[in-house]
Amino acid sequence: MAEPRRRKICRFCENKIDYIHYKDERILKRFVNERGKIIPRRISGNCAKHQRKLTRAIKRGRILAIMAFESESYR
Amino acid sequence: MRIYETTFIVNPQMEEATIDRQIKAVAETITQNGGNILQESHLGTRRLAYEIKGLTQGFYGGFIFESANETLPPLDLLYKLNEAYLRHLTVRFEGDESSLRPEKASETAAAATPEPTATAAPESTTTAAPEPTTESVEPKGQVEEAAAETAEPVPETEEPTPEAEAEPSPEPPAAEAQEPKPAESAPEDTEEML
Repeated sequence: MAEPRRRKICRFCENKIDYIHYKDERILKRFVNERGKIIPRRISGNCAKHQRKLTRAIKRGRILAIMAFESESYR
Repeated sequence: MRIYETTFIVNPQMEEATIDRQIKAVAETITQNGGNILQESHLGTRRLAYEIKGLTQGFYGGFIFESANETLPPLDLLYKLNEAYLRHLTVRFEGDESSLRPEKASETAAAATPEPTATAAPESTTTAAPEPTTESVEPKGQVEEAAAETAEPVPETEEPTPEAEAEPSPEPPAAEAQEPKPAESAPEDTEEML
């Protein structure tokens, strides 16, 4: 690469959010693509710790029909 | 004793009385099996991300409670046997426990009191919780205005009446500096996230 890529910052670390709740649809929705798949860490820039928590929250949200398991066009 | 969080979805097309009965059934199951409800966290009726039994909406109810693990199997049984519950999830509470502490302390202080008061206590505290934030917003503006007003006259009247104006002025800025910053920074952060 010509110029060094800017290092992504974990948004949860940045905003000092430690606990990601499975009912927070507005937050969870940002880390899921149109198909309802969880966006990988390499793209979202989350740190490992928060990606783990986020993943667990999304999966719990799916059980409670807050998040979609899969969808052709998720909102 | 651990703090658990349970969430369940009830069919919203049923009558309100039956929905209330399902919520109460969960609360009773928790309390009758040695649990202690710390907070009610009902979301109300909302859209489901996918259809469940042909329904597109569901009533979300929830409780945060403290109990030993013996409470959980009867609760799970209630959810499974009753078809009114579309979905249910009971997990360990991982959020900020300090937000529940004051309620817990008040309940343990009134430990001898019967269960109805224990369930009523969180309601009063949760309803009381939003009020200080709305109230604190108004005094802030007043304090800032008062501070701005006092800040301007102080240089002018420094020499004639130094002690009379010097005493009240330090107090409002100190209160202003401490209070608004944590209160304002928290909502801003969450808004940025969202």
